[in-house]
Amino acid sequence: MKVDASGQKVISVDIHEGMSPEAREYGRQFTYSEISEEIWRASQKPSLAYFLALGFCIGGVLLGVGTFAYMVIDGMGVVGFTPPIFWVHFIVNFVFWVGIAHSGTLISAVLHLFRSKWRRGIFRIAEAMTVFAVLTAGLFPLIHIGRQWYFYWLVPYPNRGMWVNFKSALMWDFVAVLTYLTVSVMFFYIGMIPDLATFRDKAKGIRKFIYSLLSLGWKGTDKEWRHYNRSYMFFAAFATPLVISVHSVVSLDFASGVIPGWQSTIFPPYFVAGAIFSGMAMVVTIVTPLRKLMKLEKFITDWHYDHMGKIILVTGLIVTYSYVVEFVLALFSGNIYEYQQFVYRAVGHYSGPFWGMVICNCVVPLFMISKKVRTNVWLMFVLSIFVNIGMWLERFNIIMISLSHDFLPYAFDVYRMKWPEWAMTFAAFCWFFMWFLLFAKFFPVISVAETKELVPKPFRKGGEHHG
Amino acid sequence: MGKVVLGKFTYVDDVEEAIDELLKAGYNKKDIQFISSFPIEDIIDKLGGTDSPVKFPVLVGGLTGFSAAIALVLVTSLAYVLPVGGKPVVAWIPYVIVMFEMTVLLGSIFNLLGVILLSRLPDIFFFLGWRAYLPSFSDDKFGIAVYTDKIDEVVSIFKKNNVEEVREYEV
Repeated sequence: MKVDASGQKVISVDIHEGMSPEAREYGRQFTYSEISEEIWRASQKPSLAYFLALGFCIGGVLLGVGTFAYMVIDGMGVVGFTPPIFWVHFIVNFVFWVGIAHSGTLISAVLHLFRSKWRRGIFRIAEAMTVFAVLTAGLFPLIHIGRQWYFYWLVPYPNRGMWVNFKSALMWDFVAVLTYLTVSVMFFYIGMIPDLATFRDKAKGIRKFIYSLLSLGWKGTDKEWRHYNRSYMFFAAFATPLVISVHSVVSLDFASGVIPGWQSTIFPPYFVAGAIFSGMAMVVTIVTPLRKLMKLEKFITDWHYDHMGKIILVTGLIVTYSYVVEFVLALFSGNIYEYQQFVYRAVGHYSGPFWGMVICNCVVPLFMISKKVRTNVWLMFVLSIFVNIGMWLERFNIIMISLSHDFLPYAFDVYRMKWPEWAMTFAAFCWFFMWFLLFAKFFPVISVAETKELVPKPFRKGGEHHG
Repeated sequence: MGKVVLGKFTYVDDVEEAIDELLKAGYNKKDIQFISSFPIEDIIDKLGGTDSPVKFPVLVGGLTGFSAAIALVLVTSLAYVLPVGGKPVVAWIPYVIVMFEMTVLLGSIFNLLGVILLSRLPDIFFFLGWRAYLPSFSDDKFGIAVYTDKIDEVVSIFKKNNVEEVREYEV
């Protein structure tokens, strides 16, 4: 507490310090009790729509399990392998889901370091998305290895004559994705401890017991907060370069290869921007029905959509720029293999997915230049689905078209996905949303503690005190 | 066995003034605990500053990860030499990625362990219900717990600052 020249205690603080008018307006609409109560209520008895959605997702996962079993029994030939095109849809899905995973850490870590206030309404959802998206991505290397019972050969240790080679991009990928998953889970968990304590104090019976265990006896003392805040900051500082490194490494799986359309130095920044672009679009896709289903409209407002729209717009422009650079470099490189690859993308067998990608990733985000569009929740939802489709097509185009049309015409072939690929792609989405729905039922989907920080502090002497 | 006096407050300025008076009356910062469902920097600062020694485990973890990565890439390269296209057997540039990832991995794991241990979690005594705590502190109330034998003095400071409820615990 400050003391003025006359010795009088000065309690009031500058209400404009560190907070935008939108953030202050957002904070003013709540009381502390209301925040705890509303977020707790959202995890209570769910609606029929929730159970229908969960049942649908579980059905999709079972379809995927059945298809996978069929593939293991009958062999990898049941999927559309056409030499030289192998593993296409598995790798497409892997890269797509790893990309989706990135936005969670971006919102959580990068925006935390920038002291951004709007992240508070959605960062928990984005973090959960990260964890579940990495879990989904992680399934695909296991699926495509063929002999799943040797999955542990992926682990870098010398086994049966195979020796780990840390100069290989695939080894970097393994180490990077494993690190990303571990750090994301820890970051997710530590951020949730204070909110789990709030749930513990409201719950009864078995739920109280489980929340008590998970919250580790957190009380919210000044000492706990001191260590917690500093630790959270370190997590954010670690996670920020990690976001950039992981998707750069994923892109190097391709860029360090010699296939036309892959060997390009623009891949790391292009992939990172694409990952944030698709991840942010997926946050919008998830948040929109979730806020309706759980009646959280008050917590996730136009303010959040406006900012998410801006990030999608900026990263969409970077992705568009990358497409243009990639094309121009190929057309003017003097390398006939690169040249034919990019011409083939635009006018060949797969021109449909290619132009679909261009429309979804380059044209659709431009609508978000308008604030009216960015603050129209359902319109943003529709646009975000287009972006998701566009980003899946982007992975498909990079991987599939390059493999199907490399150097020698005799090796060119046309690949068509068979039903097991479609089934497993569909199952991956169901798997991801199933975990999400289960998470939303049992855990705080919005940070109670961080939302409370936006509420003006109650002072007996009156005035508005944020910060 | 010691005693703890726990006060429940609604207003932040009441809490600040009560803590100021407790400090003025000679109570040690270590014996005063402020409890809240979200961090209030001003009060945390009063009771010992916002810095935390959690940085040390993070540093140790990061260095351990970095060193372990160097050892891992060196041993795997030198134990079974795979000369490819005249490229160096020990190539540092591709190894930077592994070193970075392991620095982050171990640094983060030590960070988590550090915050848990420094915060003295998991708190077994809390599970047993032996801690001075009220569920309303995770809702809309603030708490001050003082470890002392001078119960009357603390209660009078609390009352002067509009405490809503006072409880006494044996710990």
